[in-house]
Amino acid sequence: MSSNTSHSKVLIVGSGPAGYTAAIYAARAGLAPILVSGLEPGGQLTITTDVENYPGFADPVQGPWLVDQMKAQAERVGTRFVSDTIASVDLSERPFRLEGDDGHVYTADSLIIATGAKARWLGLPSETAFMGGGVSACATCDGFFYRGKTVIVVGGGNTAVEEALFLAGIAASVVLVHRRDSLRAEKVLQERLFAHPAIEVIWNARVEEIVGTQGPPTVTGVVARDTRDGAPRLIPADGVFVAIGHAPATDIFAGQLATKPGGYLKTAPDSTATDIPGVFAAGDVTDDQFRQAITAAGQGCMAALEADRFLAGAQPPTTAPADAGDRAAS
Amino acid sequence: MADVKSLNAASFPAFLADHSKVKVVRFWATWCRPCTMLEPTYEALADELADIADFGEVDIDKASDVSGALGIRSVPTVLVIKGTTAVASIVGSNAKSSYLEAIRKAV
Repeated sequence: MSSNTSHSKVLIVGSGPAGYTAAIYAARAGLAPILVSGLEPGGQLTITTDVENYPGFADPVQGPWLVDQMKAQAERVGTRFVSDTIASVDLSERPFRLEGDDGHVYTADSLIIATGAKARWLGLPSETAFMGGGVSACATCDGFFYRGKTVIVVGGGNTAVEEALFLAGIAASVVLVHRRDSLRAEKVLQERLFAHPAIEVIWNARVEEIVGTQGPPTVTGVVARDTRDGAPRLIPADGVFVAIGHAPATDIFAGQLATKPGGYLKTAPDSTATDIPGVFAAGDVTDDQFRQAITAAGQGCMAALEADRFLAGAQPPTTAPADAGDRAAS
Repeated sequence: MADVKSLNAASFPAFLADHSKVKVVRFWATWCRPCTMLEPTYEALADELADIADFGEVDIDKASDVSGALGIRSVPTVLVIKGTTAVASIVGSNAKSSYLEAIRKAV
């Protein structure tokens, strides 16, 4: 085997709560896992602020601190971390073969996919044109540039509300623009949002264009259309933070693994097994329902336990629908 | 060993003055997680491409005058500068290959 190749019994791709938890369990099972961190080591928690719903902490903890602890725990029990990004994957035979951005090859007897999800964008050409010139998906990174200014947050879920609350502590005013007439965010976050004097909510408005000036690109606002009567309106702002959810990060597996609607990796019922024996998926890359740090961690644990059983020779569960006759008695 | 020059308003013009090599500048902040994620990649680039480019970085908390003058509104941002013109501006923490490509294209 060349020095440009690493082999492991369990290869974990992705480094959020799912990947780190899988690493903790796999390492403790004596499987000497390798974990490839990817572009955003730590995942989405690294750009969140207060985490108040992860059990075990009476007071709010910071997202980056929480994932650092998970990583340190995974490291202490024997995980080998690699700072690389997987560029291509071949799951057609075992060992599975994955290639890093630099050409390093990883072969593995089992694979745990925990690549998570990446921020969804509006998909407007003007959004791309003003990227880095007032358009952002990271309030904790770019809020700094909007002290005393007006910013728009687009979205209605937890991320949008958390970003709006974070930005309200920096900017002079925050306008939350949402295409529906209610928010999906947790009630406690909604209450904080509505009570904040610096935050205004514009309902039933779909952002259609980001507007601004060129050279250097500078945002001056957005054009939004009322979803009820179709009327357009200009909402002036110095910055636009897009927080309309996340899409599963599955590009590198395209065409090789079965997916669910929305592109999430399909797993067997009550299992993390994908349709390829030996390949498991955990966290936001497969979870189209819960998408919480704690559920991702739980699935990471399941994936490691299932990989261990698979390596010991057990048949993995199948993603095919359960036998119709195999139901609990009513 | 990677040589990444820490730049501020006083040292930035001198860094750009020598046009013999392409200049690469990373704008970052201590509180920006994607910025710290990019650091190992950036240092590896500086190591590998030392012959064809000079690498610098600007801490926007310490030198907001530099980032402000260049219209930086997002961190991390990596600028690739050829002569006096920014030929590429890469926002966010990206794969090493995307920086390699932009820098090689500028050389």
